[in-house]
Amino acid sequence: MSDSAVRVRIRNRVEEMPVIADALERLAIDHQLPSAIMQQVSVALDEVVSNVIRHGFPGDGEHWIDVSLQVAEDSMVVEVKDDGIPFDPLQYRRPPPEGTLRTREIGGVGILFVCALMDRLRYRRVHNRNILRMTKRFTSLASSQRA
Amino acid sequence: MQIFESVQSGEATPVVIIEPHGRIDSSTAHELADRLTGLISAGSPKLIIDFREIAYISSAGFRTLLIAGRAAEVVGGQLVLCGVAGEIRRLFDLGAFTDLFMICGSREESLARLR
Repeated sequence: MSDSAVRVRIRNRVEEMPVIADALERLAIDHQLPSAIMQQVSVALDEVVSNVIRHGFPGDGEHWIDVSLQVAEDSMVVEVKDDGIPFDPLQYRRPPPEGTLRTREIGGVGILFVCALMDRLRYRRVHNRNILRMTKRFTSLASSQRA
Repeated sequence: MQIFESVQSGEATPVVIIEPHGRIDSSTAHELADRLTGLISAGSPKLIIDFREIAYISSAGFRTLLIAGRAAEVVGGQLVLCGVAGEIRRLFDLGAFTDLFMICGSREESLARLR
């Protein structure tokens, strides 16, 4: 990875997630990334990491989640690694729940957000670890608005 | 996240305007949830949330909005949103939340809707 890669490691606790958001914010400022890119990547990362924390470790206990953020000329690559149960978020994409304010299911849009906001997602299970690699192309901003 | 609050009184039920600043995500959504449910259970179910100072909102934030909107409606109030623009607006559309809430262009319009 180039020198513009940032690595962050947190425990499987929601309270530690601001460490990731802060690192992403600093990186976005350093590289003068458009705020739309910063917002989209922030939301996607929040969805992925919170999913890992909530569902990845049924036995609880302390685990580490590794996040790397890499800015290239035309894209940003975000990788999330964890040793939780196998989970490929791409298998769980579905349309948003239907219903009214009173009847609609609470939740169910996190993975949809990830898939819609990022340009490329690649999931692998390697040595008992989940590795999700997400790419956001800077040039995709205009076209992704159509999603 | 910081949450600013102001009250428009002069009506039978006052309208409370909430202006959160910063991120509404997995680690902060509970702060907004606590504030909203606190207001609703204390007898102020007419609420406006102004989104203009929000950096971004993830699904954790939408969960909070859904729960609070429902709770307000159950006791005869309403959650009205304003300042929803750009990427945040797009997330409302992506998640099919746009039609679930009253979304107004300004605070004034929001207030008029609640009166």
